[in-house]
Amino acid sequence: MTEPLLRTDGITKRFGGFVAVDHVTTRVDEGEIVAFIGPNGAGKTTLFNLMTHMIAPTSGSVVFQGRELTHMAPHKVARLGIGRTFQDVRLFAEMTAWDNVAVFAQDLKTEKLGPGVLFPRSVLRGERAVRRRVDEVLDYLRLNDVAGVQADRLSFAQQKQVAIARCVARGAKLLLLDEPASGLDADERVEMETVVRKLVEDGVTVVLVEHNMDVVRALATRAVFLAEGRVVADDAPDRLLALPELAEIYFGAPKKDAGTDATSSPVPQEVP
Amino acid sequence: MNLDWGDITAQLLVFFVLATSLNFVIGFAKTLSIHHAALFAIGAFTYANFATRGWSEDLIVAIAAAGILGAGISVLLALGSLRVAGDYFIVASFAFQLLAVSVLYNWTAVSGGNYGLFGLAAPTFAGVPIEGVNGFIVLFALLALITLAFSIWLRRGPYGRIVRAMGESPSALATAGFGELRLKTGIFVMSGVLAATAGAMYASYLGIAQTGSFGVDVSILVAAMVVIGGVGSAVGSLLGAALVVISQPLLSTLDISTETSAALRQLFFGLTLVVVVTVLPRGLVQLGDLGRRLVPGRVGGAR
Repeated sequence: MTEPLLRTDGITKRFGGFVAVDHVTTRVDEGEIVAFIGPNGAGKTTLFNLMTHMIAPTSGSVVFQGRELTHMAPHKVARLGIGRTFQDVRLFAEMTAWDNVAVFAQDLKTEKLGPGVLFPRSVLRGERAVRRRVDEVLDYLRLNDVAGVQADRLSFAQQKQVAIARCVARGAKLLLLDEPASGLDADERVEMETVVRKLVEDGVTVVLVEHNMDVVRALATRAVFLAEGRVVADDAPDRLLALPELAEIYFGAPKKDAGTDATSSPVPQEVP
Repeated sequence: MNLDWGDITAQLLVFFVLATSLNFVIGFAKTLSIHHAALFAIGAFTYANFATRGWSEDLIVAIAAAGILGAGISVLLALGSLRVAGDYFIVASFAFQLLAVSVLYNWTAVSGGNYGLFGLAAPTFAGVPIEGVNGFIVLFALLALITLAFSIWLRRGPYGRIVRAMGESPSALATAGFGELRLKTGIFVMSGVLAATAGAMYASYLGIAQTGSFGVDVSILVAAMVVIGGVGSAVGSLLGAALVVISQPLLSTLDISTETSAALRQLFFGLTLVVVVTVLPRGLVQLGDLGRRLVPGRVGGAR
């Protein structure tokens, strides 16, 4: 097998006694659209956070293009070409859509005082390049009309598009989308799917966490089912979604769970 | 009314530089902090020591030395702010302010203890002697202009953009490839240099440096200038400093007892803050936006 774009090797995350992600070994190949699905609390977002090293794993490793990410700071991971969005979007709320994208378009050297403030010629040259890049990206995602709007005044769907535009501006090779369809209406969802397909056509590999199975069917080339932090199934979306036992985990199995359901026994059982 | 406008102008310019320095931290980086009077004091005592010990009476030399000290201490404060999550930094910042004042009080060799260092000779600036209030006003206006230009340049440029982004969401900024450590240190250092510069200006103008003038009340006063003027706005710091510095002697010229006037000052101050945060949440600079909207034929473009 060729080296995948990204792989996790027995990655595990424990929060106290709770195992959120439990020895997950998986891979993402170039050009794929992989969907991570599963019930709430299955560890999908935690897995995302591990992949971008926003949180440190308890054990195991993440390897991107042959480089181990385990001890790398999140901003260094981003520099390698891994972009991500957040479930709660996290735009720079008081800045315009344009400025939001510009943060991701400006040279990484601008974090130094010289190229960032003190050397006017270098600053001005950089800003010219930023203007070109931001306009190009906003054009690509058809967001020109909202360029000057403050981010927290955009519609939720527009905010999510700006979040994707930011990753595009940085030139992400791998894009992790955390619930891209949540909160969108049917039209906005179709628009989002079009954007994702366009990105993939242009060479971006996409991983998404998604609860909407229509979106998973429409977009994903592969689906990975997580439950209680473990990979339960990994297959083409159509085949995977047809498995009856997965539907049972997803929507709950009333007979099996009735005894452990807290609402069914209001008084906690004391263990003698 | 009999106001000393020369004195008011000179002080206003000094406090504008100090307010700008605080605006870098509170307005751009959205890090609440309350230690700027201590940085101000470091600048003032640097000048006072240079002058009384006969090292140099040139303000440029004192500003350079004060800037280095202010920068060094700001690096430590920035590292501290990265270890304390979010708004809790204000507690650490407050502690530093108290610590600095108490060190200064007790380090008599440097601060002159309770009496302070006084009788400082008038400075030169790059060899040019600064004489009289007008001399100071010309020099301070020049320094304030440089400060204003720098603040606008910083805010509109790439560095200011990522510092503001850090203030909004450090985790989202990390996905752009920028780490918090370097940026926060950078903006704190620029703020520290500017605050110390303001301190050196202040002591050279007053001819005296006393620890008592650099208490936490001054930190709060400067924070009020930033908030009243407009958090994050370069021009706002000027408007805020002007309003606060001018209003104080204005209220004390009223023909009433000192006691009443002190109370009145507090009342005025509190009311101003309440009015600003309720009517003009973005500060006095918002008045400019409102005015622009009233002028027909001008469409506000994207800033």
